[in-house]
Amino acid sequence: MKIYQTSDVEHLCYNSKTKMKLTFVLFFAFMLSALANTFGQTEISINVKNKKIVKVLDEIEAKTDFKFIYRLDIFDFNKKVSLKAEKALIKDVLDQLFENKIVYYIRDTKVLLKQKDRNEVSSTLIKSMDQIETIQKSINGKVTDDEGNPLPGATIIEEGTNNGTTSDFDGNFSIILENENSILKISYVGYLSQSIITEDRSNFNITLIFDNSSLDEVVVVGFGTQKKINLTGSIAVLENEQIENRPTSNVTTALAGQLPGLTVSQQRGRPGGMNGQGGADSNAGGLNVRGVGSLGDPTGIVYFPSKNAPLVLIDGIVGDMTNLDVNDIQSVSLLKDAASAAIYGVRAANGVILITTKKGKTGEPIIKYHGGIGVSEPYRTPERVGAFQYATMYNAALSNDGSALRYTDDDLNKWSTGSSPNSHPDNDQYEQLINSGNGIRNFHNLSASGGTEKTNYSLSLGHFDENGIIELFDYSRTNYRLNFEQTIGANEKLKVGVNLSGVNAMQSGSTQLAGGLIENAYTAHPGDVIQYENGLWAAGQDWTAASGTNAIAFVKAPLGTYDQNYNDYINSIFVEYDLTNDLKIRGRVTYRNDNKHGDFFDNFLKLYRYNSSLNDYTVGASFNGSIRAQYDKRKDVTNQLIATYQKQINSHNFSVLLGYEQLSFTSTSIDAGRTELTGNNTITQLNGVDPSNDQAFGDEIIYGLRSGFGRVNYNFNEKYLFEANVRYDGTSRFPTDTRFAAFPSFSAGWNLSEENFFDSDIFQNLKIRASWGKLGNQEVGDYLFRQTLGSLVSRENIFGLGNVPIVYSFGNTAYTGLDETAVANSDITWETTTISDVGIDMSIFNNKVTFTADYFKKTTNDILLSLPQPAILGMLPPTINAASVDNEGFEIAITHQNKTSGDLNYFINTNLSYVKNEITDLKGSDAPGRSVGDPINNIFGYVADGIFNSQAEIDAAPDQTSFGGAPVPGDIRYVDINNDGVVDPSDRESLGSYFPEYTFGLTAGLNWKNFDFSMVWQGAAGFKALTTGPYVQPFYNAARPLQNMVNNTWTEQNQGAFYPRLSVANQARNYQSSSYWTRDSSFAKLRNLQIGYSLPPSILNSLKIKMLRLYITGENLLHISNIKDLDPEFANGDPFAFSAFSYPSSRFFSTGINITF
Amino acid sequence: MKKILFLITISSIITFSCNDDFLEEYPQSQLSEDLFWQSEDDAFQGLVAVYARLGERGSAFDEWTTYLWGANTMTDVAMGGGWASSSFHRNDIFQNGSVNPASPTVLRYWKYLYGSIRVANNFLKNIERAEMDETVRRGYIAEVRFLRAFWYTILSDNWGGVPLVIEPLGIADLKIPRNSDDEVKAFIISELDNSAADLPATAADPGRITRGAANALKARFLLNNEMYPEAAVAAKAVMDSGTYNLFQDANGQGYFSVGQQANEDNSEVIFSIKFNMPDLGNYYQTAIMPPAHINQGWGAFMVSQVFVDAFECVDGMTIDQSPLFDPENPYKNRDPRLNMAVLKEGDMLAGSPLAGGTVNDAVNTGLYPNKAFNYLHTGWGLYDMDIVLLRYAEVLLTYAEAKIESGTIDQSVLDAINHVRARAYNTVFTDVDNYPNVTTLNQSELREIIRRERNVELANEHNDTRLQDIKRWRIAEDVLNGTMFGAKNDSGEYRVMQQLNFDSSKHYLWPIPQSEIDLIGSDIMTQNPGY
Repeated sequence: MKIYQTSDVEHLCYNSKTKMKLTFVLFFAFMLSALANTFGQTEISINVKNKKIVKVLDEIEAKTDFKFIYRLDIFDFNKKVSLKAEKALIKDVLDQLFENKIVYYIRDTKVLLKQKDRNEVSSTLIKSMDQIETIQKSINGKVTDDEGNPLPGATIIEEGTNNGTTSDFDGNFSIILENENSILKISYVGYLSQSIITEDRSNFNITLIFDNSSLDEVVVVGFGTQKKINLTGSIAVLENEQIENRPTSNVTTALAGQLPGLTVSQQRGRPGGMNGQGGADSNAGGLNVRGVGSLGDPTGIVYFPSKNAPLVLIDGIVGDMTNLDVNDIQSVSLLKDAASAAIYGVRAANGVILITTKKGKTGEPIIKYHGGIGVSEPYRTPERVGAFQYATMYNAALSNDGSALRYTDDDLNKWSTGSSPNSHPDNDQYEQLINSGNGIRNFHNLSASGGTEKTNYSLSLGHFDENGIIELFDYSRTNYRLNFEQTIGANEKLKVGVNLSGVNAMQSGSTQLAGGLIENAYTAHPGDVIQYENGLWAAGQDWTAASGTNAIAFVKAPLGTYDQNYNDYINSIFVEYDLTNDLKIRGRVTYRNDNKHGDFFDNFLKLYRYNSSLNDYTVGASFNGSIRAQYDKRKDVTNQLIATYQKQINSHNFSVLLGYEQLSFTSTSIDAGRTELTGNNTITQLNGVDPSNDQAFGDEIIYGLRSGFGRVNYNFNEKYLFEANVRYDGTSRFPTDTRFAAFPSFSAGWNLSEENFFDSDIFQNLKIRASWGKLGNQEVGDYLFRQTLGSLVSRENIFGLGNVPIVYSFGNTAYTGLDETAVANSDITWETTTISDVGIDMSIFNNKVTFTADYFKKTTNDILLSLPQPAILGMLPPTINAASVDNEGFEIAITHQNKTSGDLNYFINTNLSYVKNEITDLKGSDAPGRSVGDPINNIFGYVADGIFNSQAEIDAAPDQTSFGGAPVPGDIRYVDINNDGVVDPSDRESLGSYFPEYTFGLTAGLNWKNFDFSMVWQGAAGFKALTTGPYVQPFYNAARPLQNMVNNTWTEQNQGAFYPRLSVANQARNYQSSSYWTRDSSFAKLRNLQIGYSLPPSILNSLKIKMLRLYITGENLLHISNIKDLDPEFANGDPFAFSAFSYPSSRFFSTGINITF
Repeated sequence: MKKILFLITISSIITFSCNDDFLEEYPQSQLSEDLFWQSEDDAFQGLVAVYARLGERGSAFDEWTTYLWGANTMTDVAMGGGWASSSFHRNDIFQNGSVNPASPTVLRYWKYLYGSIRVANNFLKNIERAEMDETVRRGYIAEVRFLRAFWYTILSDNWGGVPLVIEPLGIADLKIPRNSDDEVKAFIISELDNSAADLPATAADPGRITRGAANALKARFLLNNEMYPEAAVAAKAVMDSGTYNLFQDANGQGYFSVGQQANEDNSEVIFSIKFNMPDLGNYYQTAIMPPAHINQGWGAFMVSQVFVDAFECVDGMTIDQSPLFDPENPYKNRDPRLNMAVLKEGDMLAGSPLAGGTVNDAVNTGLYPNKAFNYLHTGWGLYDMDIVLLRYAEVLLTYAEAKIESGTIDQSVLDAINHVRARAYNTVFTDVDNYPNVTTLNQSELREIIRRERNVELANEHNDTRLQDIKRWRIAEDVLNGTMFGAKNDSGEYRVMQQLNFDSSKHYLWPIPQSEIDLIGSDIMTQNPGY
């Protein structure tokens, strides 16, 4: 029996050593051809302490081109040795390692180890492998794990051929060899691969060894991969297992809590993540890496396009994370520091998220299905009073105001008893609205992947369908993706591949904004009829004078539908060529075509009122129809050319990457419509309807980016690590002469655990690292440096009158003039972010625990700001590079995974991030609420000091009349901060930040026998929310008060109440932005919980299924927060999102199934 | 084969990349300056934009806020009215002495003028790029230089030395000091000389600037700056051109109707701001029409009693001297121009008498500027009567004053004055029996006459002659102190309009806006004395 092992057969190189001369010279001047070294001449430096021989061989493989093939029983390869050699001949090193008991057979770069025959003469030790005779043609075997359990589905490949098979359910396989002397490679996910030389044997028992070494983990970095142990930058990684079973429409929210340094802020519950990430009206989460780096977004983070959003690349191409199928994701890398991100230059200032999709692996096709169905329900929605309580409190408010009561005792009695459902109903439109949708969600993904030595493929097809909790507000999406690679030719130097992906998504909704509908419903009077018995929709006149709106009718009738279709296709091809064994060059062209198409259709709708005197229904409100069609087309073309060079000289490991990239983005839009259509309209196309009210708009934006970039890695023996990156970017967004700039970064690491003096059984790895670099932010807008002309007045305008045509008459003829539209800022340039980072990584207790911590300081300069300019400019001031912001913080991540001796495996991953930002320079344009020293997301207002309990308290307090009139007992008392005796706007101060200082995540899971369990927690702390609207103010726009306001408003008898006195008059005084209404927004959310059961092999065998898992799961299951009645996250990053008028949060329960065929 | 395939791929990528224009992107929904200014058509559109500044507020609501249209309400002859926020009303800072560096009104005029100058500078910077007929180009340039000089005359007359901005500035260019008063004046005069050389004697289209306009403006500016001989020469050039005459209409009311819409572009008009509905109208009419009247105006322009009293009696004597003056019938036996210039209680307007609240409300004086009303269209709305900025009568009176002050008094001075007076009486200047002609050659007598003549002939129209006259004559502290009165009310008492206050130690110049000093730096940008 002969079993041979290599640790990483995939990296074996069978190519001829023949050097191919470079017949053409590109701009890569660095290209070197490697010198051929023969085994006998190769020198190596090595320094290992107490390592298994297997590992030592791995290291030699890593440092040379040679690959070792050997039988495990010829020597004790697990024996631990210490070895030190400087520039010694490899043969001498090996002889020392094997105590001269092994001989070496060489073919190309392969080294076959054999036991030394006593009779052999040492001078003939090095032989040709061709001397080994093989006669076997048919091979049988069994693959088991180290505990003897069969491994079904293990891949067996005859190397150098397309010949392969997989093991059956008992781990057995058989294969007919194509060649003599073949080497079989046996691999299985999670286990170390083995290669066997068949030689004269036909039957093998193969034991694969579980690979629990996280040190060999490879991390996706910019334009490549890097061994985790050699990383010097700050990168957080998420693997597919941690998200692929999350039944969410939106990858952004699936990332919440899982990547230290990433703040995910979900602020709406509307299905579908449209309008890019963090769209104002979708459930997509806004993303911020290490805080908010720039000023200028309306509220910091939720709007798109955002100056503060990270760059998201899917397989290296700018992509839309919100329409991605989670099943397609292989890994997510978050590049946080400048060292990791600088290779993306002007787009990297807010961090980079690299998403890699799944590729096929060598072996028999694996066909997987993942699907499920579930339902969502409103969660954390306001609990509001009923009609009787409403009327009672309203009367109390009127009484406090000294006004006549509105509701009679009879009214109150009818609502109290419910005796008159026709005249005194208790209709809660809000409850009806947020339960009007069925909330059903179903999701499916079918994938096939596999490959041979030369080919691999992965194909997936997914469908996701989500119905909202509000009718009309639905989302559906179909994704496909094909990743295919083919190695061509006998020498296997040429590889080609394609990545094709497409998504067809539709976010449907009402022509009314979700927020508007919700506000209408929320503020509807309880006594108003929604729909008459004869089916007519009511205009809501009974208790409200003339609201003319009926949110339920708007979605049920419906008033209108607005369907937004998204088609996003990415086609990418690449060619890769190995110029030498060390030098590869890869060219790639990607074409992305992203089309959006909106159909906006308003029906003709009438709402009625019942007129009792006529005993008939009259039209109370009518809405004319309209049709609008919107087309947006975005075309991105990305060309990349990348050369990589890797070389090891003794203990010196070099790698160099040089690249060229060019991107061009063209975005075109047309929006045309016809409005004021009357009469019932069933025509959906513009040409079919009345053209008298036509509207049409269109625009096009083109931008280009051209870049060269490079990276140099060097490490000495994987002990001392250095990396430098630079990207030289030129962008069309900046002036011709200054549009190019370089963004460098430098980093270094020290693997202490590799040092001789570091002798610890606890640490498998201990590394400290530091980095520094500069990044740019070009998301400042297009053409700002171009002097543009227009025919509308846009200059400094005394009364702010815009859009006045530039026209003048000569004689009796009017002529149109053209004039500058703005002062071009010919000096406009990037916002520049400088990040310094120090970090520590450790791996302890046999890799069962890992710990990573980073401290960073991030400074953004040249933030664009519009500063006042002298009027001799003669125009409105342009925005210029002026402001500065600092972000400072740390991240800690701890993981623990363990496999007990029993059937229990478990893991716990936790992370904590802290970031605090501060505006450090505004070039003198400080204004109340946004001054140097303030956080970017500043809440600004009065400081409240309780409620006035008596007139005496009011008399003794500073003057509070600036809100209009004097306060009365029961009103909020504000503090006179500047002690001038008067409370006025100069007494406002910073009340805290609405961006979280702390974010944390916890994911944990366990497997026990066939059961598995996992959960994801996400949380944030150290921030405030300014609560507003009906959440704090009873009868805000006549809305029902919250249940917790009942008996909790100030009266003389109830002076301890939280809320000020009930009133419907002077609302301004008590509802100023003030500390009274700011709340601690800290929260923890159970984002996901999942329990699964995998059927045992005994059942699966009979079903011819490799794996079948059933699970139940829930999303957004539990919130822990001081803030009740609303999703606490709605305040995260936007003080005004924290409104009861947002599309509410929902909770989702689902069942699902994973099958592998 | 593989090499070839690879080469093809690589070279195709590089070909993609080697387009030099790849990073030169231009806005697709806006014209880009780099790509504009190619042709004569482009140049013409640029020219229109410069002219459009004259009527820029035209289609907006507050068009009458610009300096020229409210200049009378900075003097003794009128007061701004209408609602408190109206720009006319805000001009009271120049009458009650409250003007200060932080006054928003001062900043607004400053911004308007420098905004307009920028449009002109932008044109002048780019015009050479256009491929066009050289004569046409020179003509355009001359027009724009005239307009820029025109805006600079307003800066110079009111602020003295100001920064001479003669090209579009970037934000890095703004830390510049004021030029001296003399430098600004020399610049204006030289610009007007230069543009006059290239301007046509008569315009191809009414509304375009002519050589006459350049000379007339130059005469006005030289007069304002007491450069009398030069002013007389400039005025004489206009008079000798033979292009202009005093306008007379069928009713003999040419003084009133010279600016009326029915007579636009008449021979007396040297330069006017053209309005044409529906493309370009203004609310000026609405603003100045009497309130509480059939016309529903805002009453933004209220005439004072001193203006009424300035008109002579038909015997050529002032009301305090003339035996013909009847205090009980003060409008009787007066220079015919009085009843053409002022509307008073009981007068008919659009078929409805001025009465009641129209004349009695607290803010009203009972006196309205009749010449400014558009008699073709009355009532609320957007209308398009041209605004006459330069007319021939002013040139004659400028000539006269320049000659009087330079001590070169001769018959031509008397003729110039008498031409204007005779037109008022609907006769020719030689018909000395039918109007009170001027005969004296005494300088001080003539000085008194010409000053009165300029007031009654030119004030309460759309220009700043009265404002600059009272400054030049150094009488501002006399006429802008004490109480401003309106017409008598029913009790026979003069209505009190406001208290006037003029500090001669500082108010002859306006303050530089404080924000300008703050932003440019007080070490660079100096304030005028007294502020």
